[in-house]
Amino acid sequence: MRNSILRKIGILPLLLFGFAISFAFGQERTITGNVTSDEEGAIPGVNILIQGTSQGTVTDMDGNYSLVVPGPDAVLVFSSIGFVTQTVNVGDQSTINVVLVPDVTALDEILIIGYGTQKKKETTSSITSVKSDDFNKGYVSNPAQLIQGKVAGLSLSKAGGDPNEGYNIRLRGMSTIGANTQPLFVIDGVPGASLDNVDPNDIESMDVLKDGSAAAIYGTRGSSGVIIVTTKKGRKGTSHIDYNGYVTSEMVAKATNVMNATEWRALSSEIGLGTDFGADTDWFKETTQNALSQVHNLALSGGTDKTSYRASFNYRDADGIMLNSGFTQLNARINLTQKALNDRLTLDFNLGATTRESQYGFTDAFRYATIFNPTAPVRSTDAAYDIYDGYFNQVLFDYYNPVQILEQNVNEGTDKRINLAIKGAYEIMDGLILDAFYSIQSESFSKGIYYDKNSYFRGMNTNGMAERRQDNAYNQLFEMTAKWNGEIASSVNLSALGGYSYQDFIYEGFNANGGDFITDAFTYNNLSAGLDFSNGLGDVDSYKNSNKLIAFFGRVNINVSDTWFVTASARYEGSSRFGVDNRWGLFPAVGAGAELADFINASFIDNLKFRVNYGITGNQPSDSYQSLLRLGPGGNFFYNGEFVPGYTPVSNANTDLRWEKKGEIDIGFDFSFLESKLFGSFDFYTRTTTDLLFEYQVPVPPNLYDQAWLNLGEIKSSGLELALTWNAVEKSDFSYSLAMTYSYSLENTLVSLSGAFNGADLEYGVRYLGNMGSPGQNQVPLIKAEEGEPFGQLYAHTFVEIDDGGNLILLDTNGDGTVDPDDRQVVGNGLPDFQFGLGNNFTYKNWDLNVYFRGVMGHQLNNTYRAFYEVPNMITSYNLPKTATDMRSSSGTLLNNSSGVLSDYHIENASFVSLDNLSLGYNFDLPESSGFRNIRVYFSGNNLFYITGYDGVDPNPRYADNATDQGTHNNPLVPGIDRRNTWFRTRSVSFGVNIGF
Amino acid sequence: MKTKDINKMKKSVFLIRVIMIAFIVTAFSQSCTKLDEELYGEVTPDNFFQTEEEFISALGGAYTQFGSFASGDPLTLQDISTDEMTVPTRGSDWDDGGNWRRLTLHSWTYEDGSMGGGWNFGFSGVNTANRLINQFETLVEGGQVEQSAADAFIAELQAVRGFFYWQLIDMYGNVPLVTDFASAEAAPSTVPRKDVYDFLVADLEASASKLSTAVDGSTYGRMNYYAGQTLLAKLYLNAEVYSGTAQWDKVITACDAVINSGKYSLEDNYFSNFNVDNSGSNEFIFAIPYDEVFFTGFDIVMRTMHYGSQYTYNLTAQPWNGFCTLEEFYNSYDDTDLRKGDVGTADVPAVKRGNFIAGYQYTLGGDYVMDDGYEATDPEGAPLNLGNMGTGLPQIQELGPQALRQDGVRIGKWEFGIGSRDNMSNDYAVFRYADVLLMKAEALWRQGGHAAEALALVNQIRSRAGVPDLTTLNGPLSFDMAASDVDGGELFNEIGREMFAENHRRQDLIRWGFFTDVDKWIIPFNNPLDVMETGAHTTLFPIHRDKLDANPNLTQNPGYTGK
Repeated sequence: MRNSILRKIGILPLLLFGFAISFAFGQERTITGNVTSDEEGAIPGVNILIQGTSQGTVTDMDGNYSLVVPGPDAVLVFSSIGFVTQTVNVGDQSTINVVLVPDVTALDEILIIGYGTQKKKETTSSITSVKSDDFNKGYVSNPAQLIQGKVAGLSLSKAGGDPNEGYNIRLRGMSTIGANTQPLFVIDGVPGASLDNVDPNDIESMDVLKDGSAAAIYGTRGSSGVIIVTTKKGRKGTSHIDYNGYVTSEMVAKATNVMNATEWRALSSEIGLGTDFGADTDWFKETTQNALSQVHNLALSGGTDKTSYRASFNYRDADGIMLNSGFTQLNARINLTQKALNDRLTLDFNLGATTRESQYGFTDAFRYATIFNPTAPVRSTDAAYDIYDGYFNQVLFDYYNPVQILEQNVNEGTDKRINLAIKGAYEIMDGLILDAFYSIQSESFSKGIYYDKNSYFRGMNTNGMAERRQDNAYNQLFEMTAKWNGEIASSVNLSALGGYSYQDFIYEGFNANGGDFITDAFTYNNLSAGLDFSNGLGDVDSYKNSNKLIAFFGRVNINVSDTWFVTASARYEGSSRFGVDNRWGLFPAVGAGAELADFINASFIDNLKFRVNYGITGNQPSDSYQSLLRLGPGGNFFYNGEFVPGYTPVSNANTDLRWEKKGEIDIGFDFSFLESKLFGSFDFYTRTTTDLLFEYQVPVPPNLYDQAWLNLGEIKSSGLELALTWNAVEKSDFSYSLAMTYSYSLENTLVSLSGAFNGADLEYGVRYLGNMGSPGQNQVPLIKAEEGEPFGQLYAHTFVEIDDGGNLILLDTNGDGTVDPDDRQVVGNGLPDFQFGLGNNFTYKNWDLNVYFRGVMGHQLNNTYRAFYEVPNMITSYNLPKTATDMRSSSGTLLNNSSGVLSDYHIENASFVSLDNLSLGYNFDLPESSGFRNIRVYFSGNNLFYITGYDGVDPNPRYADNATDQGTHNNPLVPGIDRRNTWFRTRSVSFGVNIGF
Repeated sequence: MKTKDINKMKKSVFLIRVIMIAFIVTAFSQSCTKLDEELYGEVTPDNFFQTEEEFISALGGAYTQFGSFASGDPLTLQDISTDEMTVPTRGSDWDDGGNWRRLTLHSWTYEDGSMGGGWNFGFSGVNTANRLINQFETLVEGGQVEQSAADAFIAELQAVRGFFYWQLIDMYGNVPLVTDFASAEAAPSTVPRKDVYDFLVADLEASASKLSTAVDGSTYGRMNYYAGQTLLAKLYLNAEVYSGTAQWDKVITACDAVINSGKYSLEDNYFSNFNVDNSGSNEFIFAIPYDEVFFTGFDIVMRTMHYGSQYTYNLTAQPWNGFCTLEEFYNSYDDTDLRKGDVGTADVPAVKRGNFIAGYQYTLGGDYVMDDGYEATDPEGAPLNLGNMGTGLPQIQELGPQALRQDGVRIGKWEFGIGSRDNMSNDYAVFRYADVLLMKAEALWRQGGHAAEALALVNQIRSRAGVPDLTTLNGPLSFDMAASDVDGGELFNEIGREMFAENHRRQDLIRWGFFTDVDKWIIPFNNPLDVMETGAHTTLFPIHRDKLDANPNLTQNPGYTGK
């Protein structure tokens, strides 16, 4: 306030002076216009000066101005505190509208934190905010992709290009194994809301709360980090229409390295095995398509003093690279804000809705395309193949024509999501705001699968097979908070927050599947036509479960002279998922910061803030009712001539089941040097999770059931993170900046997996986990989880050589004279050591160019394709990796084993650097008369190349096992396994346009 | 501003505050801190056991535990470790880290999955029985159930528990003895095999009289008096192994209780016991009533048959091409033995069904079943000839990894119905009358001086099998025919032939002292990972690592890794 008054007083004489001059010349013209900013709408009090003179004016309350200029050569200089000064050549224009860009020093940035906002300079935590301007460009199908590589310590990983599969998101490595490993998403204030209900185009910012202290306000679900997503809102004084659209072409960048027909024939004739069917089929070409996608986003936004709005409509039509896969999605979002009662009451209303129709394809098809004989034809007119509708097939174990799978069968579904939120905030007195918030989210997933009567894959055996699945999820949230902000002593500012939160969740669904159809005509739409149901052979199941979270929370921030900062918060939260004796937990956090620039007299330092904090966060089990003794139907019992269901225990009572707790210390610096030319932050963290939630084998007796969710064990991790931005060149027509993020994992240790339950000591000092699977490698463990050792130890035999007899020689590690399972040892680690992101941004006149590299280093992958099929003799049944011909003794004898044996030979270094994103854009100069605000066209390429020594399809880390049939699905203790169900890796190129009206 | 106005404003601010606070207080008091779990699709003891039907279904819990007996880990442990069954490694199939070969070579480790599987099978049965006994006792105390009615249920559960403990001491020997659910220790210690045995026979003898003697629908699939006697006969038959002291007299007494009741008899046709529609066979003393819908778990068709065999039986799922018999065992049957079955030839399918499926296989339409992945070294080419019958080659390359995909004579003892699902509907006899006759025969022969009586019992079995009567029970052992006669050798062989694949063989081999002669029936192939183990410790299985980890008071059996 003080500033703008000064400004007005200072400018008044100039105005008068300007008037006087204008009378003196005859060629003058009057220029009118309006000055706005994207953030705040109209800007009053902007200083406008004719360059080289003292003539000028200021904008009025609505940002309008009018100024007489001497002629077309005049140059106007627009300046206002807090904005970057802009110059405009008058030329023959009579209306000059200007959009000023905020001049933000790094530490003035506003961060969205739990239940509020905070200036970056005041925070004592490690929080990274990524605004929409900095999001990844190009083909983005999942909002999480927007910040891939942008946040030090945040890792997003997805192997292969399945458009219907999500990302595995990890913040700061491992902090839990049995509970939720993915960060909590808080979307417009709703914790646990679905990111799939937000279109990437509608996101304003994503704020990542990295340390325990920042996340502790969300206590119970904050252990794996918190990501706050804020959607775009309307702005006062604007009325905009924006259109964004692009088309994308996605193609296979890398498929499995298997033999083509010529290579296959060469090996086949060398060893005299395998049947040549005479064809030359590229099974990858037959099962893939060039995927074309289009994305359109139309948004209307605007606002007045009292009301602001933004409504958007999004349409996505995406093909997958797998034949007959992809999705179509419609999404709409409305955000409304209305002020009332002398602006003391603010009402917010948010509505988001999405319908997505997906064709999932069959991942197995890629697995079979990889192992199918390249000399086999896709189709055959031989009558023997009539039973397969003319598709070629062979009767081998787990071997089906992949083209037939994709062309004949249906696997599709519709997801519907809606969320609705209303919030009222009332400023009860100056500085004190009470608000109440209610939201409801409803999600429905329906899925239908049909296997054709002639589909050798699953359908033929059962004379057609249909499956219908419906799952619903609801949650509702009610929260009340009170916030107070004010000065409690001279230069001591206090802000305080207190609140209550109630959230309940309900999940329900049903599934039915059965076969024996007379016709394929119904696909999955008429289950009763399947005779299996009449014959009692159809499977039907349904479920419903619920859980609740209730919490009280509070936070105090103190700012002393903008130099010293203290934060303390606590959340006291209960979950219905815990045992009756231990439902509630307390999650406190404290932090302190100091602006060292105030003490160091060095002119190049703008800011140098040191901060340190400690916070405790929690985690709950993934499923409800784990603390109860439950009975369930465990098969039937023959009683007096008929079957009656037999009920047996399915879980043990554990009244002590309680929160998993993670304590984390974060020490860091936020810095800005050379007038924001170089800024960034550095963090060191160390975290220990205790009372680890995990499902253990427990002794029977005395327990009723041999598994139980227990709070045992401990894990520990620590690491370093650095984020750095360097604005290397900042000229009016050329700029270059470099942004990098770097995270290094110092430690990721499984400290303990032992403890006591029900009086019994459970000692899991060493566990062997995972299973290679069929064919022939069941009971081959993949991971050694060992107390005191790092996570993700890949476990295998050690390869020595192929001897001249063609035998596979493995190392007798323990020297006992025989090679047996005891000779397996740790031969690698599935988790990366460090990761980096490197962004280069160039602007030249109207052009802008972004080049974004990402690197992940130090992890190994178990290449299971090679481990299964890198055996020449297997050519009898399967196509082989090209590397199978390398399996030779020093004198050239080929391996003569007929079964895959996992050894370190198949465990590969998977470090990589990728060009994740390259985009080139052009902003058109638009005359005012055109009616357009801006037009930008761009070209963008995603995942353009990978530099890696990894032989498999995708070197991205596998943070958890993605095999669905080995009992370790999604188990984070089993990372680093490249399973055979990985989709091929893709690259995409897009062409897009942004238009503002 | 006038003072009056200021007061007015203060009042209204105060009022707003009061309203807000009242709202908050009200909201909190409205159950907003209650965290009780709401149950929808779940039952706990709090909302179960309300009706008689629910009550009976709890009893059923004891019987559902039998589900994996016929083709799960009990079969793997009791049969694949013997001379009657093996799982060859065919190319890459069934290698599984050498796990199946280790079972055949007796070099299993305490990390092999089936070691934990057998333990789970036994203890989940024991524990369920203990829990239900405790439940019935509680209900009697609470006056909800009459003592007399509870006694019958409890005696039945004691017999069920006895069965599972018998399996446990048979496989693992020394195991924790837990008999009371309420006072069970958290980490019970290992108890010597003899002590468990002593408890079992005493418990079963004491409760026998309370078991039902009915042999009809009311006891089908459940433990009646005769099943209890057969179980006792089993314990006594192996008493020398289990406790160090033989109990041949008691075997005979227990068997006679069954035989003399007149309620059971040999079926005229051996396969009446194994057909799809075999319910209520006169030979069944205790059967598991498998059903493709209501009681699943019997899937030997999947385990044994070749991929292409799907088209012989129109199976709804592709089988896995695994379990086979061994050559010497197959050859221990006379070709005229009705139990053996015919061989399919290049011209016609097999006519008589038998314990085995061998030779050329035909589809339902009469064509050859083809093996599309046949190896170049396979003399038959693509037509499927199980066991390479008639080629003069070894029928069964017993282990591999070099075994051919069509090697090995398959297990056809239980009829595979046309259109069968992976879970079969044949009932499975746990205790069968023929077994009682053979147990009695063995006990008589062991006692000495009753050879003629024993021979008569054995010849009852043989005559039904269509093979000539024996005149002596001595002869060479089936797995070592080139060697000289062994006392009782033919009795041993006959037990094998009759009880093939019925989870019998390991017990017989151990009781007869032949189990460690594994090197006589298996030739290990030159796989650098394979080791054969002939030590005496192999007559007990090791306790799985997971079990040792979960209970520090367990003691690993001698000769194995682990504390």
